[in-house]
Amino acid sequence: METIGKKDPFYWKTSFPYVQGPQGRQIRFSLQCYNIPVGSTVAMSADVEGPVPPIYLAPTVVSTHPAFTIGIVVNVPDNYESNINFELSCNEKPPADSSVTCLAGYFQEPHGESTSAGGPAKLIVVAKVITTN
Amino acid sequence: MSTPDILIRASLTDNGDLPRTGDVSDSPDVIPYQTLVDDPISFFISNYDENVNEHLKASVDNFIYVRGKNLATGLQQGDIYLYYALDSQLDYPLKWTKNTLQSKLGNSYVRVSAQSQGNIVVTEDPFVWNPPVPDEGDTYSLVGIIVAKGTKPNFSNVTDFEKYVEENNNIGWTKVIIDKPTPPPTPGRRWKTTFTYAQGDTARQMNFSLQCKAIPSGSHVSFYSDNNVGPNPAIFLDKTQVSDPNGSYGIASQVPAGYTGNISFEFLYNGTPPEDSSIAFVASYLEGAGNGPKKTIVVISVKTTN
Repeated sequence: METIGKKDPFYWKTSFPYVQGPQGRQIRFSLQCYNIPVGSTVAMSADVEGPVPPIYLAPTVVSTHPAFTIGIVVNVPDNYESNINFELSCNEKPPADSSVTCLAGYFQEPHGESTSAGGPAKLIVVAKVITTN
Repeated sequence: MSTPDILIRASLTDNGDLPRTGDVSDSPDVIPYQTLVDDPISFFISNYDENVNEHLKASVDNFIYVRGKNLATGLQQGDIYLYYALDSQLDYPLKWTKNTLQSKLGNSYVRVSAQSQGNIVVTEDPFVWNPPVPDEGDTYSLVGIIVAKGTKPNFSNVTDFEKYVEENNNIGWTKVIIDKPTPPPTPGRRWKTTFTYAQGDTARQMNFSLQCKAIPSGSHVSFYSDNNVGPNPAIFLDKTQVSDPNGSYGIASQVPAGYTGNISFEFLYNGTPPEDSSIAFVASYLEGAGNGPKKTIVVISVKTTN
């Protein structure tokens, strides 16, 4: 899988452990950019295979400012464990306090109702890691 | 030899009349200055009607100029001496007369000559002082005095320094303000990573550390939690200068069961860090009873790589 690697003057990659626990779920993994300059590149990957599709966001150019979000929905098997990596690469040092948040979560529907029935689904955050510039 | 009739003013309104009145501790003629002046004679004559005293900078060389005006009708010559003193010791000259400042050329006094009445003399060769960072509550003064050439000042009978200055117009007293040196700036933040820490059901003595890999010496690292209620001490490492590029910097803390907090760790560096250099925040504890070998159990490790 392609990752950004260091190609621009400003680069970082953050890695954190992800533990699914005893219940496999459909999990949404997203990268939420705040104030990251347009033209920067972000990416996400996991060290261990298992989820379908893989937890992987190919290097993606940030196209909107100040907010930009990209994500995927993945079926994660029970007891899955892996380090998850997310990266940022910029041509120049991004503004102070700009950030990239890696968020993993699932939607919990209201008890006894389906989302389509009108009840608001609640996002349950499983993991949230932010790297701020 | 008699004292030269050269006035070192106690204030801008001082014309030499005695006794001098008002505040006599802000002489415009004992002049602390942070920098060397190109042409001190012209400069300090041209601004004789002004008080151009400056603050001093601690721990670096500062320059002190002394000027005076000939009140007599003919040639007046004298030697100017300069001392620094703690204000609290001014009434005890034995404690500060050893603090004679040397001139830039290495002399313990500067000789001046004024040809005629009204002439202004200036120490072209300034005195040099590298003042200390004052201890809490300490303040300092400079004392400049002109005496007959070839003689030395005599303060042996002085027990009330302020009164002595009021009654003698060959002496100038300047209380100085010493600015502390500006600390080197902490580098700007390269990045900060934040994640949620959960202690779980067991209270433990935890080790929280930043494990550096190829992080430049001189950069700074720190970490903190947004929840200080519970852990003892708080999960906090103040900005710490990296001395070993592969070093580990951290704390131990007793963390109660059920504790959660958002922990941030940051890397402060203005340069470009080496490729693949990294900092990992590691929370761990030691497992094992008694004196037997203990095993490090890592609870969480979050790493940001440059």
